[in-house]
Amino acid sequence: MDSKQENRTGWLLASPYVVYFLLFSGFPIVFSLFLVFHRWDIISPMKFIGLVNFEYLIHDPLFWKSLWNTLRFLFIHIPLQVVVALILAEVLNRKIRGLMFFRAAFFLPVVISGVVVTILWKQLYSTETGLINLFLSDIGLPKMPWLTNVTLAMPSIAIMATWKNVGLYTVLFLAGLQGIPKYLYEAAEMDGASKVQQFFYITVPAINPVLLMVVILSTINGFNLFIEPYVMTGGSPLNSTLSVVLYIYKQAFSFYKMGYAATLGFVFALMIFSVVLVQRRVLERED
Amino acid sequence: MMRQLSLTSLGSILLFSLLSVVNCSNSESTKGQYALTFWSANNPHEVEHAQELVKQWNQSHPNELVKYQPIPEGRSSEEVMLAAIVGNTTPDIYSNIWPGVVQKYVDAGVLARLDTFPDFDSLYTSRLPATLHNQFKSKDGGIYQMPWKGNPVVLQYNKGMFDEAGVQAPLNTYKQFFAAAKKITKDLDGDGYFDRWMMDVDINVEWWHRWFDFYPFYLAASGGKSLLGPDETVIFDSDAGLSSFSFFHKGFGEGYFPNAFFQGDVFLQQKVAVHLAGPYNIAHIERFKPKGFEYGFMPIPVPEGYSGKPYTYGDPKSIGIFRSGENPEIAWDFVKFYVSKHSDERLLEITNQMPLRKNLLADSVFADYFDNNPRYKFFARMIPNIVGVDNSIYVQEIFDIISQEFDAACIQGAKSPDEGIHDAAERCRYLIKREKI
Repeated sequence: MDSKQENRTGWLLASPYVVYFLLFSGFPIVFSLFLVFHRWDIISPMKFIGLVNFEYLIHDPLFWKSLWNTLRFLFIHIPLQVVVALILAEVLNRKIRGLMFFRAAFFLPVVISGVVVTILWKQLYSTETGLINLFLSDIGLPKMPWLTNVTLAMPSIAIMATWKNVGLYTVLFLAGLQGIPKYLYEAAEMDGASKVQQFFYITVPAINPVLLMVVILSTINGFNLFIEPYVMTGGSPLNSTLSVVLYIYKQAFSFYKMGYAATLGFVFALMIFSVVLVQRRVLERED
Repeated sequence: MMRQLSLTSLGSILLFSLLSVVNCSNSESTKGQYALTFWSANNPHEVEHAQELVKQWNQSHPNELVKYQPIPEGRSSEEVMLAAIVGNTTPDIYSNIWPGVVQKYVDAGVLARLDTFPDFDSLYTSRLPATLHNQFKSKDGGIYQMPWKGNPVVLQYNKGMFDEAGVQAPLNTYKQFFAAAKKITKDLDGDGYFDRWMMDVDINVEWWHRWFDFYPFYLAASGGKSLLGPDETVIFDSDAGLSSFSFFHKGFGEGYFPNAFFQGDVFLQQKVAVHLAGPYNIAHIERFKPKGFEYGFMPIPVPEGYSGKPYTYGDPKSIGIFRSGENPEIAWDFVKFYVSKHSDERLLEITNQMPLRKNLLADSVFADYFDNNPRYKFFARMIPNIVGVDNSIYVQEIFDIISQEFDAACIQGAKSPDEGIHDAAERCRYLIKREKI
């Protein structure tokens, strides 16, 4: 096969995804950049308004509130996700009875629909009839307003999101752990290193590329927080669970402010890009 | 991983999916022999009603056949209609238009102006109670919708719980309501928490939930004034708005309304004594009520000193003719048929929803229905005193702002009712000013 023919075959094989990408990512991105400078409710003619959408955004307290909420979610979710996934991976990397069962069990929430999981947890968190509060009540502890209290609502969502996604990151860490040569631990043990020292001086440096990937993926996924607050709280109480993506969704698909929603989306995408860039630089330097 | 899909991609997929659904269902090629296409709501009762009427029409109008289908499935009918408008695949007639979106459709030029038909005025004034005549006019003074049906939102109460507490219905004033609430709200199992409450209020902040708490109470206290005055001036930060906010602030503050999400129907579970609902709920209660369960209805309570009529939110729905149709005259004839006495009688019998028609209880055509279904008489009496929403493109966002302030001032008690209603009004004024630039 000559290189020309090879190229043609390559393009042919890639074409379904290229078409998909251009239709569902390329075009919407270019079109939303165009929308940023317009006011448009889908059915009326577009109106050019220059930078007015950016002016609204700067003075929009709900955008800044939703950004702060998303960051609060990330501050809880990412460390929790990394720590729990690493602990689970460590446990699943040992020879324990029922290993296959536990590996499947921890991965199961990842493949269940996000909406289903969220509805399930909403019922678990119910103040009056939820299993968690019934249990607390049985052992003499007060019932907690998990989703209706301003302080508790976002951490409750973060815990739920961690439960949902931890299986995926556990698998990634597990792959990383299984790639570490055993002789490194044996040599360290002979030199008198404790288990904790082995973890911090062998395990952590060895899985740093996986750690980097997990942190970046959790950050991107965390920034896109949507299903959980949409189904569980709608952004309440006091807008304390209103995430940026939920806010963008409301502007676009409840109020049909496509120009403003596109502006919010663009600014937010730039923020995510900057954060991920900084994360990469910091973690790669540590490596 | 779904989350990695950008929002724009997600939006496009949604829009394209809706467009394709709408396109598939209403392409020109499928119209064929039909003079009109007609969509109704897609709940089973309204589908049955529409199928029956379309069949009758088609039998008596073989040269003006109507092709019927329920509105395609979507997150909301407004979203589906929007997709249809964008894709230029609207039906000729749609029978379930929420008046809150009519002004948006009018501004986009997609609805036919109905008061240009020569016999519109006579039908409009002869069918619709005089008190509702001005509610459906658009900003340009024209009427682009035929008001069709309504579901007055009132209080339904549990007779057994009222009797047990020695409470006598109706509870006409806030004072009477809270006196009853004090007797009914209880900690039955002694664990230090209330487990029986006076009334449930949905704590979801989605904008339309305020149709079932703040808004009917505001309308009842204001004598039927809606949220906006002439030229879209915000008027709800009045004594009536404050009364409504104060009512719910007190209800949540004293623990008479639970600040919690529940599973199932708390009214039928007898955890609450009072629930806000429309006539559609009677069929649900009759189907699922426990043995011996008795219930009744009462108007929305009002502040002390109010002496006017009992107003409430009527959740009205209208019929619209889209300009994309080729036979507007035939479409208008079909609309007249769809709101005729005979059709309204079938609307009552099949769906138990109230036609927006004057003298429902006095008209002999409907006598049999109300004799056989006496519970619905209460709702028929309310029809002249219902209010819809303002004909403004901002109405959804206004309810969203109110909902956020309702959450802050009433549910969470994070600010006073006075601050809450004032902040809501100021934010709405800013919104309208901003959008008009």
